Amino acid sequence: MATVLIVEDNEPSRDALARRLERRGYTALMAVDGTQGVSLARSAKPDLILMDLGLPGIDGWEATNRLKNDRETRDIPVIVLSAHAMTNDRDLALAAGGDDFDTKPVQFQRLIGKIEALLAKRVPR
Amino acid sequence: MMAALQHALEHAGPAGRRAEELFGQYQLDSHKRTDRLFAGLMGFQWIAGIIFALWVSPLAWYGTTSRTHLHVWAAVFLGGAICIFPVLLALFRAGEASTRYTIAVAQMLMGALLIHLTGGRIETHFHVFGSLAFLAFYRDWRVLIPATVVVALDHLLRGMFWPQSVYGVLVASQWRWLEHAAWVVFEDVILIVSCRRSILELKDTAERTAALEQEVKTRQQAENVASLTAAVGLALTRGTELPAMLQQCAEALVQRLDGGLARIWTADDRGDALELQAGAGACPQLDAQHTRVRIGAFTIGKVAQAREPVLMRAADVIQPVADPSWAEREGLVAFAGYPLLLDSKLVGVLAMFAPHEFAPSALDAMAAVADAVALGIDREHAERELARYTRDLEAAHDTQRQNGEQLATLVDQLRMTQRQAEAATRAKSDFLASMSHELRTPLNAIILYSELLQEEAEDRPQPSSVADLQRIQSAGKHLLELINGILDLSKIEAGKMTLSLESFDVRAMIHELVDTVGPLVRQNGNQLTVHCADDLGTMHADLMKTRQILLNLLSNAIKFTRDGAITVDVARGLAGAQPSIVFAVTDSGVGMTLEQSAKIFDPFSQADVTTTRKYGGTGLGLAIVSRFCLLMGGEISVESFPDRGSCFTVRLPIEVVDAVDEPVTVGTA
Repeated sequence: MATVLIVEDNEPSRDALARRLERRGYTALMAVDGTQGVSLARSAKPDLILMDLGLPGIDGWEATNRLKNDRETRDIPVIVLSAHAMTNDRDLALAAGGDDFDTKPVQFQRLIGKIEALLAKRVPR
Repeated sequence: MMAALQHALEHAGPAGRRAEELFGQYQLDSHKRTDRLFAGLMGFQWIAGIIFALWVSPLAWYGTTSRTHLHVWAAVFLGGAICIFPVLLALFRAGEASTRYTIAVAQMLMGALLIHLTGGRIETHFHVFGSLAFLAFYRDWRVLIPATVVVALDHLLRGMFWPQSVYGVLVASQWRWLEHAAWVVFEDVILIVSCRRSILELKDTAERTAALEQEVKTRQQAENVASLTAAVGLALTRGTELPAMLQQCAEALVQRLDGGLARIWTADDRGDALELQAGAGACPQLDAQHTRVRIGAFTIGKVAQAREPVLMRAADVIQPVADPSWAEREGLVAFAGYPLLLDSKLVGVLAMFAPHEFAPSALDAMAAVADAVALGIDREHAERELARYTRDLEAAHDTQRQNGEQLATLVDQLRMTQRQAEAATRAKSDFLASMSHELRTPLNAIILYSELLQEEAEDRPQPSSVADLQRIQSAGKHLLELINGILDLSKIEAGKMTLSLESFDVRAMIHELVDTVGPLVRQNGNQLTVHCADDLGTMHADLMKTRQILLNLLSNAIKFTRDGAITVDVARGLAGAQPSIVFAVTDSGVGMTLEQSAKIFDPFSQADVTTTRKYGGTGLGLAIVSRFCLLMGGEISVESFPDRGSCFTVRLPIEVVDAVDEPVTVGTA
């Protein structure tokens, strides 16, 4: 089953999302800020990344940008999650290289749909 | 009238009159000169007579005794007696005809005396011929007649009674006097011819001189008229103040036309009186009586009334002056008055008194000056009027500018207020956005955990906690909807809500919506009917927002209707002149009162507070829907009756134009 990296600074959100994904059979990896998220993505090579935008240190846009500019991580699909829910957040996230976008609070069923859609498109390694 | 006057003057022939005048003067000069000549000659002859007498017969001898000869006494006394009267006349009444005739007689008597004193020597008779020649200096042949008569009588009488005295012989022929007289007449004839010829020459000279004078005068007048016209033109065009302009004109008239005095009046505003504006030349003391002359009164007023120029003798002018002979005393002869007319409108009167008759050129010049002055007065009036208009305009302009400035200030203030309001709205919107972010994060956790727990509880048989967890989850979702609704509204009002325009098929969108709400319809036991017109076609609008609008209206209709009918009608229509699509969502549900429907599009104003509790919903749905409609240039309206249902009608333009840059401020958030 696929490995999903959750980059999220809010501990309860991170934990709840991870546990719900694990209940669906995913392996959940967790990073608490942008820097950690980028290094973990490089080392662990997850199948998909859920990236929060408002992060301490380097933020979600910057982290996504770095991942997408790194040959090793550029193929990993990224879903950007934002609590701002402003339209230009979505545009910015996609411009930074995010593959999809969703708002927080997460509508879990919708999110699972997006995750599965991206994983299905992925070239099997 | 003027033409007739001028004609009369020209016909009189000023040159001819002047020639006669000159001729008379020349004659007089000639007479006086000759009178003086004879005065001297008389004195000389008297002395010469005495010398002759002393030389030819100083003593009379009576034997040995001698005494002064009678001739000497005769030379002294008789000669003196003959001389004294004509000399006095020549000195004191020179030029008079009587003086001339007296001199002629005396001269011939003096000749007779000299002839006698020389003892009747025939050579002395030449004195007679010389005298006649001298008398011819008078160029008046008539003086020769008494002279000739005297000579003839003298010769006749002395020849008869005392021949020795005249012929130097004791006995003379009876007819000798005739011979002498004939020679005298012979000379007379020659002298008369000479006199007449001389007179003719004198006349000719007088005529030439007069003609020359006339020519010079005409030229002078022409020059004067030219310089007058120039001076008047200059005064009238350069001048700015009317009295000063007119004063210059009056002075020019007096100077250039050699006039005695000139005055100019202007008609007053009401047009019933003349006001003295300018005067030059003689008699300024009379002006006090003329400062204001009623039209029709006196000669000046009559000129104004008749609007015709007047030329008359100065003495005939009727004036408000106590002393009627003032003009005569001032040597003023002629008067000319001209009305100042402008297109037959009287603007004033110009008048002149002159010490001579006015020359035709002077009259022409005055007429021209009158026209020019009338124009000048009119120009000045026009300029004054213009200046007044200009002042009024400037004042109006100033007022307008002030108003403009006030308006600009007001607009600035309004703009500032608007900016402040916008800034406040933006600040509120920003605050809400960050608030929403802050609220979403914990809400995220709440919803995720409640769902997680729900899932976990469903795995284990603990149904009681599932229901509780469902309530937590439901509350969380409601909270989320509220947050989203508030955020949407604040975005719309801060102008941050943008349109994403695309073309889509209306019928397809409607069917998609019906599919989405289908399960809900059935839940409440309602019947959903959709009527789509055949000509719907596509529209260009924000698809997401259009869907959100219709979804909201449909879910409301479903929510507030139990076991009833819900109808969706879609057709083309007009919103104003704009082609639009009309969506009508009708239900047979609970409906609303008029008061309730009036507030239905305000945020947090569901028809009744209890409604929210009973039917759920955030109370923001219709507020957002109405703003979306406005944002797309459309409108929404509602018709509702309690317990009978509601009908919401949405009109959206077929071609939505994204021109809404300004924040949409409707109601209060």
